[in-house]
Amino acid sequence: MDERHQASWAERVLVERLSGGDEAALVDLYDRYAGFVYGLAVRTLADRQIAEDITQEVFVYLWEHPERIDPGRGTLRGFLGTLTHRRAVDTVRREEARRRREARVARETGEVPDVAAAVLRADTTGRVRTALEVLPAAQRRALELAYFQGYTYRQVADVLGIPEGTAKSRLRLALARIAENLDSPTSEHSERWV
Amino acid sequence: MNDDSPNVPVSPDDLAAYALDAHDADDAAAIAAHLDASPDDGRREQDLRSAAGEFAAAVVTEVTPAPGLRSRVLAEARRRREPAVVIAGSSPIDVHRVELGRAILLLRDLTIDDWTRPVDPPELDGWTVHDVVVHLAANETLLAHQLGVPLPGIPETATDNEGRTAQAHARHAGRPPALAVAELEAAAEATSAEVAARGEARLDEPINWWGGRSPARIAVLVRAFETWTHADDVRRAIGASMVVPPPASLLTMAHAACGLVPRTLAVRGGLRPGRLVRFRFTDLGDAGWDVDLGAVGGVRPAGDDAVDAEIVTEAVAVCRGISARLDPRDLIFDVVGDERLARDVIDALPALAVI
Repeated sequence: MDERHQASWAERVLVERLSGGDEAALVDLYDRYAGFVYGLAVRTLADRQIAEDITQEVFVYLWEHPERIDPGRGTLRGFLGTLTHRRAVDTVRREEARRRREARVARETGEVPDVAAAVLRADTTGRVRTALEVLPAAQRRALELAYFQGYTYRQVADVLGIPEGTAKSRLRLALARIAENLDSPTSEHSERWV
Repeated sequence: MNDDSPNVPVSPDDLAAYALDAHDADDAAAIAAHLDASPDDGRREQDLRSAAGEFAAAVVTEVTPAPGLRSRVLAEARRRREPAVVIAGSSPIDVHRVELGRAILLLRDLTIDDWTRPVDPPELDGWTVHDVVVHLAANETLLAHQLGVPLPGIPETATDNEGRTAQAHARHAGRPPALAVAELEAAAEATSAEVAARGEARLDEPINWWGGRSPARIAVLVRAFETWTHADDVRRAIGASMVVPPPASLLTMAHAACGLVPRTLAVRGGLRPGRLVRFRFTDLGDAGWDVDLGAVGGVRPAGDDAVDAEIVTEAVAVCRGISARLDPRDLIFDVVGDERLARDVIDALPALAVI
């Protein structure tokens, strides 16, 4: 991870303030990053209520555990992405398990499940597609399924009709390519800094 | 991946899938156990997970959550961990670090269109957001220079506010705004580290500042005040709400603002020997200061002695009055005592404002 993707001085100051119990720092953190955290949660879950719950969890967690932030390991935005994604994926898996249970019950009772109320998946926006275009199509598809739809690599393999080992390999290659792409001056992220 | 032994090697492919949370629960538990026992793989996994987080940061489209979520988050956060109680103002060292940090985070989020928006203070007529940020960078690189930690590659030589800004504007014309933000942040980091290293005791040592000699603590506090003020100029320009400094910072700034009141009167109508006013700030838990209007620098914590006028208002309003961002006619205050004297004090607040 190069220096550009470590937390900046201003981000480190914000983390120090959180550690010191400065409530205004939490307000600053929320005002700056809530749109990103909520946007990632909505993209993964496509359920605004659950996405709000996850957004709350993420910010409250950081307020309680600011020591978990390692400014040397990446940007604050990236760290928030990691926290949000893990929670969103956990929720997706729980919801899928619940849906499977309900479907089984419905088959047994003859009821029709409310599929629309189950986990939804957001459309990939043009912005996401643009960033993903640097990846080979096969890797891009695997990454989309794993990251934004919360699939396990086995589910990725199943959906794509490829061996599980190939699915994992594509995820690794995609992630390695993403790490390289983060340094690209043409990425959307770098545009934000102009 | 069903073996939960921590000694079983984990392939790079499995590490990547784990970093993407793409293992089911049983496999994830086994890998987690392995990572606990294998610090090298643990670091590799953290790097991959960070890359995934940075990827999300780069591509996810922001979505504004419902307005009520903010207050729910703050309420739950307070319930889980009580905020620090503010019992005194921060050191100028901290006020500077906090306000510079807040401003830089704001500037990092500006869009390309934001940079060309005009700002509204009359004394900044014709300036864009970019011009304001170059001005901030010019003064922060000046402070770094005067503290003995000059930023490499900064060619400006002027040491006064307006001259330095003019030189910086000329150099930055047509260049990416990100350059100004980078210079501002690099200078802020350097000055912050330097004053922290010097410590509170050495802040009273004078430095060259804006053409004169001034204690470092004053220069540092002026830079914090100026940065907050101009960051709010930027916020208004892009249609965002203005912000208030954290209470500990506002206490220090309000104290400084009260200390400037006799100087403002000296400029607007003269000092008032023998007259005493008391400021009570409702947004700071009624904290206040007594100001001797006949002596520059004559300010002390509010006592119980009789004063000619007690002015009850918000500290943020007085600070914005001092920086000419709030017209004295629009400043809301109550007075106990000599209303004419209080009016004169309020009317004089912007007298020392500079760009």
